[in-house]
Amino acid sequence: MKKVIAIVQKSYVIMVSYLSNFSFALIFFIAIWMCVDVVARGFFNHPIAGTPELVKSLLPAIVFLSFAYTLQQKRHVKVEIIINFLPELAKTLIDFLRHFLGFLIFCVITIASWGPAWSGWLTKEYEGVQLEVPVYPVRFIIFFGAGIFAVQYFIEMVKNIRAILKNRKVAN
Amino acid sequence: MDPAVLGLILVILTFLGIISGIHIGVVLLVLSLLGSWMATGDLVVSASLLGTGPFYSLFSYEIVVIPLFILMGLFVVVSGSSEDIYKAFNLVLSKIPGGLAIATVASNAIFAAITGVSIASAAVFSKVALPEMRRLGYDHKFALGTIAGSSVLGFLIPPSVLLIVYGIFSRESIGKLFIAGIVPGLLLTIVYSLGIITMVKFKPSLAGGGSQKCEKISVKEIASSLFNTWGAMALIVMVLGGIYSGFLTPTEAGAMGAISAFVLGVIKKKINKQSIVYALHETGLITASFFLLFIGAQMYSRMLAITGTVQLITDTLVGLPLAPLLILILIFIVYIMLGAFIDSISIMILTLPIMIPVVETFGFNLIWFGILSTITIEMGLLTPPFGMVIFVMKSTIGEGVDIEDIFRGIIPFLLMMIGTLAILVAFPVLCTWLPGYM
Repeated sequence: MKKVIAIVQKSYVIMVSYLSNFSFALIFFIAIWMCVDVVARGFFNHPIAGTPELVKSLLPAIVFLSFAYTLQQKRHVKVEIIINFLPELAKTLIDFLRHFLGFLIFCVITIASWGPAWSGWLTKEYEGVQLEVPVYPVRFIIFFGAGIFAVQYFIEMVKNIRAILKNRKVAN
Repeated sequence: MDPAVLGLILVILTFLGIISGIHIGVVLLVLSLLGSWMATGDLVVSASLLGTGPFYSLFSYEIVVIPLFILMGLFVVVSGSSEDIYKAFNLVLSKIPGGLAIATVASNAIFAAITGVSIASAAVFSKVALPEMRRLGYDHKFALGTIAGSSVLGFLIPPSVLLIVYGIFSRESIGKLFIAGIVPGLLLTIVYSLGIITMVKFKPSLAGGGSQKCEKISVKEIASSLFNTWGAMALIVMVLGGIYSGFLTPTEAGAMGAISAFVLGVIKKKINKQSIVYALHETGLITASFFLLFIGAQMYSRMLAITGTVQLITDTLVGLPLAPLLILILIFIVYIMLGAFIDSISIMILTLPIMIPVVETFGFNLIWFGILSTITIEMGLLTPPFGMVIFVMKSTIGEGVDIEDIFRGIIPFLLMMIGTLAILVAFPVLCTWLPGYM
């Protein structure tokens, strides 16, 4: 059982890392794509059709696919001015509260974003006039990314619970 | 529930949530769910808003500008352009009292025109300018203050990430805001430079007592160092010229700037696989952390509208027997106080949904207000106890520098910022003149 859990954990970490790397590469891709579009428009009077639609569709993917990794790297914005003065156990309790609230709200977002994604799929929701860019994949990515983010918050919560229990054992 | 009571509860919970160290984006999302649930009495409807909100917050062409300008800034940092700019100004200004400090300010102004992030300027110039100032015997606190004070130009002189955020929330043209930042940015540069000259005149030991005069510099050296800044100058002309002429949208300018900065680094042989990975990795992390805040703020502002809190605050402020200028000063005081605890982008994201309707009701020009609030929020980056610029400098320099020394060194620069702010309040045309031609 322990071996299975270890494999699942390792696979999850690799997946989160790959998803974030993919999203980081997408930023560079957007920059290149838009440069080509500007050159095509400026020099050849032929902009690439659908560029604005493509670019704005990619942003939610970039953001939601890197949320979990950014949490792993502890880079989401928080104010630490008060926490720094607290004892270790209080710090861990606040860490737990932070992750619990994050887990809770991203569970709500995951559940609530399934409906719009599914109805977008059923109606084949798209955006754009010159080039029809399908929108429903973006909605599914939000659903998926929010879900992974909730899982990451849950993992951090478990780590905090372990730390609290360890702290209590040491205290006893 | 009475909107006044609900609004008050929400404001208190927001403050408590933020200072207790919960992710700011999560605080805003949780409270937006809670607030709309309390206002509508329907949890399912409130939760469904969270299902569609992130999509509508992010599905926008205009906001793609943010990761692109962050990427551009990071490519500029790794391309080594800052060193070239600093060397050139150092040679040109070496004969002036406090020349090295003025060179730091001037280089920061140019660097700001290609990056847009104060933190990047503080980190880069702590590495580039401090050793040089130390070598020439500059006063330790004075040198630290110069670097920290001039780094704020990064958020004022376009392209500025803070002005982009302001543009998104105020629905003002980002291009116009960029152009509006030029004159105030140059004004602050001039005020800093004059301030440095005056300080050094009264106390020459601040600038090493004139030890730099020993070094002779030829015209050829100056010309060659100025030529080395061609890449940075070309980037500025392309990005700002492109936006001002209307040839490029700010988003396109960000993309062109990012790729050009990358090409510049390749030409100068400063970019390798490691630096590309670093730039993309940092851009991704900053983008993700920014957009968690952004989504939270979008949902939060919707909730404030649903609960009637914004209207209530606006009505209360309009009803106060105070002159509009005093209201403006009150807003600035709030910004400076918040700046002591929260970083600048978070302050803007948190407060704009409330401030913009207030400012509009008082009939203030939104571009003018954007520039003023950017300067005020920037002051927060320099003030204790949070002062993000100071902590970035400390972590870049490492041992051998005290946080207190940086804070003490910054005081004259904070006073100069207040002076510049007063000039801009008295003469709004300095902010509105250039955008008027667009």
